[in-house]
Amino acid sequence: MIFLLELKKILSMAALWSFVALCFAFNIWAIPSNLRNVDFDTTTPFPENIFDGYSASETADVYIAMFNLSDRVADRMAIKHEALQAAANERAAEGASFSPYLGELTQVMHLNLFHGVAGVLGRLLFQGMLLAALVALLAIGYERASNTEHSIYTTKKGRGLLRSKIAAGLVAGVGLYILLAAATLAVYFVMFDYGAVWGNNVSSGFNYVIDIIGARPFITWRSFTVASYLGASIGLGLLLVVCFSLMGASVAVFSKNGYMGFLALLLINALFLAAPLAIPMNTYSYFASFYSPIWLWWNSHLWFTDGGITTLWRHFELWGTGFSFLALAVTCLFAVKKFEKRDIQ
Amino acid sequence: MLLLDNVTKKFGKFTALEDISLEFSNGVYGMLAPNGAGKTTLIKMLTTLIFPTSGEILWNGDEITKLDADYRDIIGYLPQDFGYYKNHSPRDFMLYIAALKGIDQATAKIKTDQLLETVGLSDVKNKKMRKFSGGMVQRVGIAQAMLNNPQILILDEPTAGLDPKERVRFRNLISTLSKDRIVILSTHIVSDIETIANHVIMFKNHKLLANDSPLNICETIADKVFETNNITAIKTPYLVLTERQDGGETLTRFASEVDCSSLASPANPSLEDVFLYIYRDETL
Ligand SMILES: Nc1ncnc2c1ncn2[C@@H]1O[C@H](COP(=O)(O)OP(=O)(O)OP(=O)(O)O)[C@@H](O)[C@H]1O
Ligand SMILES: [Mg+2]
Repeated sequence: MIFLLELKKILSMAALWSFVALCFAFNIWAIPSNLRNVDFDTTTPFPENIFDGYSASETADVYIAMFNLSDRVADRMAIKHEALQAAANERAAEGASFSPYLGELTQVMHLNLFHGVAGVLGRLLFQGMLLAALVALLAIGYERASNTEHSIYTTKKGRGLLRSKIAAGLVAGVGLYILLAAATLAVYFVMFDYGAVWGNNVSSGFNYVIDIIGARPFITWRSFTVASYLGASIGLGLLLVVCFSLMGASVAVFSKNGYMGFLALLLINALFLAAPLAIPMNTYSYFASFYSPIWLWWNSHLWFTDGGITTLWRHFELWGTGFSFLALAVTCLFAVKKFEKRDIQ
Repeated sequence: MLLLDNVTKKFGKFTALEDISLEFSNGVYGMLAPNGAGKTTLIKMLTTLIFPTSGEILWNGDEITKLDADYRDIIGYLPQDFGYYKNHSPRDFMLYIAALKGIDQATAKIKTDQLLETVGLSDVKNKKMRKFSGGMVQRVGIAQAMLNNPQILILDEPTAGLDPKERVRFRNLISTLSKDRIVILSTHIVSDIETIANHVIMFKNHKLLANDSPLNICETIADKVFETNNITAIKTPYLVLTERQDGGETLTRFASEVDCSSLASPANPSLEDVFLYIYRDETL
């Protein structure tokens, strides 16, 4: 009941809807026009099985030599690549490499859809995160902004209202992300016909990852079709959006007003983003610093793959999101507890 | 019964209220003190917005913070600076507050309409509050405070910013609402207290100075208030309370510790005299 009233308060903010509309327009505009009306070859299989005879340890050795990794870090890197070898063998056995995907344009189109910074999904995720954090800030700052804290928090419901606000902010943030994603992707898949592609393996030989050591195959830990990879990416993105909602909520409780809260959020994420620059590379902390929510978004095109040089452990996206969620949930609970004991001026 | 037991509130090093002990039973209590005396601080403690640094506040023997929602369920509060949702109508806003007060929807609708009638806002109950005058907003404020028919009604400067007509209306309203409950209000307007309060609470130097009936409070400076049209004749130290023009002469009302009845006519002390006398050293 109260939850619904709070949700209604959030969703009746016109600015929010304008922002969603703006994001949608931007997303459509940002789809590269030169790729529209191209005839993709979705029938010719990739000619060879690139995973047959693939050596993950070679890649590990290149990383270790190039970055002069210490023994401890190099060992972990080697262990990760042993696991990657097993995944590559599975891909070899199932013939993932032969999947036609989008032919010669596969890599470009794959990134066009999935890239963290320059892809449709990455943009959606960023907007979702921003939206969720903003919604949380607005929802929780609402009473202060309208100067109703005194009458609102002295009612029977009292400060327990904060929980309803956080829940409503979370639902609104996630809901708006889903809405935005659904609208954007609907337009995207009308522009690009994926009808023949959905069942293809994403680890097609046409697909590859380019990083500091050059092009590497796109190897996922488990077998993914284009459809299931898209689904998994959206799903995990949802959890990351939840993380940002919780982050926004925690910051909102402690900040003076929405504006200060927003600045604090920017600062926090800028610090997370800068963290790897400040930490020496030959430490576990360096690699752990890529598990922050903002870095998970940045590297979202590497989700469900080995993650390259930025991670020493398998499933960085799952662990990263999991840790972030737990840490932020605890922070948020702490903020709620703090709020119950705090003077409201 | 509401009881404050040696309550002190500090903001950092600054002590806003020190060692306040008070007892409230049914009746109207008027807190009369200058700006910054700590009225709002006390009220915020009574409404659980802020917490005493030391001491306890008890409702029928239980700490109010322990009672939690049960305590908040029996209070109604009009804050000093009453905020509202500008895009809401009084009715929508009250229905929202009613939900927060745990009142079921059907009852809330009836109560809301009744109260808006009582405060004379029935004809604008569906209009957005954006364009409301200060008096209208204040009336919404008191109506929302009354939604749960509170046993303790707390009003922080309910008459501030109201024109004389509104103020009289408002006092009458408070009088009507004050039956069978504790009403605690703060004000710096002496006439508010004179007309509606049966207890006056005063603070000085952040401590409790008086908690008594208006009559008894006036008694404290009995024999000290005089009036004269020739103040220059008074050679002993005195404190000018008020001056007014009376038939081309300036009539000065003053307080003096020594008996001036030979030079000036003794006057019955009013609450205003007491206020001016007590807070004479403070810049108002
Ligand atoms: N959060 C705070 N931090 C520091 N000092 C405060 C705080 N709140 C109030 N004070 C100080 O405590 C004193 C009492 O303030 P309070 O608002 O209770 O006074 P008041 O009697 O309500 O005054 P007014 O008539 O102006 O409303 C003032 O000196 C004020 O500056
Ligand atoms: Mg005040």
